[in-house]
Amino acid sequence: MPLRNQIIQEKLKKVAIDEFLEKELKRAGYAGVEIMKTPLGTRVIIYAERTGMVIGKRGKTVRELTQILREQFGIDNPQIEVVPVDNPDLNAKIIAARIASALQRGVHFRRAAYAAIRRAMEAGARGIEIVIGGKLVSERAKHVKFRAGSIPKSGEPAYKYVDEAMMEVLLKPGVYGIKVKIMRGDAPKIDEISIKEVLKEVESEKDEESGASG
Amino acid sequence: MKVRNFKSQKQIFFIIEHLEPVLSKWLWYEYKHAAEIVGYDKIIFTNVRDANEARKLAEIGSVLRFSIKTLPLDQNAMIILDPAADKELCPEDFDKAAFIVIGGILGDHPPRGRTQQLLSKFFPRAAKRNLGKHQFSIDGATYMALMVSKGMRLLDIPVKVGVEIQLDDITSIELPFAYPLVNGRPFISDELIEYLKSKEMLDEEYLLRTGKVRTATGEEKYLEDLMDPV
Repeated sequence: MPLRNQIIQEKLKKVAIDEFLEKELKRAGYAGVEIMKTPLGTRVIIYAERTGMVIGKRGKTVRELTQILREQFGIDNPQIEVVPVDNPDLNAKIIAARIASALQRGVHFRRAAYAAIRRAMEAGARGIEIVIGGKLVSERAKHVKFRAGSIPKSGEPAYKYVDEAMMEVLLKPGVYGIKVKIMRGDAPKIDEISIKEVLKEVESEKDEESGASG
Repeated sequence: MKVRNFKSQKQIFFIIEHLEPVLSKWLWYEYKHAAEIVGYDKIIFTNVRDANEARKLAEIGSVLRFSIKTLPLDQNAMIILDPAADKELCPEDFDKAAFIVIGGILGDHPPRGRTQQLLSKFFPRAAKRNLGKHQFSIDGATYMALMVSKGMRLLDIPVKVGVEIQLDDITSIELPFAYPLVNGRPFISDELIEYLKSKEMLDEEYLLRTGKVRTATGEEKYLEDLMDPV
């Protein structure tokens, strides 16, 4: 198989695994997966908000997942590692899942989105955008956008620092789509200017030189 | 702006076939705006089965309780506005036409083609026309058709696709439909904008919580009773 096709196949497999885990571990606050090949087999790192639910009673869920990954997805000797998410309020997937779950419990999406925005900004996000779209009975299809802070839409900062997630939720009156974009707190501000320290050293050297000559 | 010398300036009637299961407030504001655009004497609402809805719509136009499908209208004098139609609406279409038929549907995005399924296919001899690539609101489509009936070409009418209404510092509503521009502004009913800003959230929340739709007639209807025909 040519290298290009091999890479595509691997990426497709990763997407399929990600979708499967998202569905299976929805209640555990699934936040993503990393797959790495090692000499002993394949290391699968699952990030989740509630790691206990991913592991299960006496590791039952992890054992089941290992079996599924080996048999259904053809992963060679999978070794699952469950890692808790540092700050769940800054993870787009977790925020989207929380909003979806709130909607299913009957909370209005605006209330759910406002709560998510407040928590993310308090957790130190640079910016957050939540778009909830859908169509209810006797209403036009619409997207409601909630924005706070700043979110770059294009270029390197958008690629590097913006975490993005999408989720669908089926309710009785119609389907809602939830899209969350969040800019991490450690991301540099686009319009922030910093002056290098080196300049000060050069200036002090110059002062010393002028003092010596004088 | 090119305006064709329209020789006869004959009366064109706008028929809106009510196809939504309920006359919601959103729908009411679009109907009302459409009636204001063409004049209350030139708009006919058909297929209004509910007596209260018929009474409400009688405030802004003529109302027929039965569908346009049952009316003995000359199909050759009929233009149906259907986004799925092959041809665009043009002033020449109005040489023969006496009626413009618009589906009373609050559209999906992307469109599901409900106008074709619920309306167009029942009129094989009527002319089906679209208003370009994009989906318009009911009042927007009425305005576009009126302008074309007066001799303007679709290309000469400025249009904005996707309108964002800012509700507060954080929230905005984006409507992914096409709206004609009048004096540089999207042509949307002021009442609808006011409704979206103030009460739409409360109605929606009520629907999600109780499963009941608050209608324009002041009633509340159970979601289960509002069967979507498509």
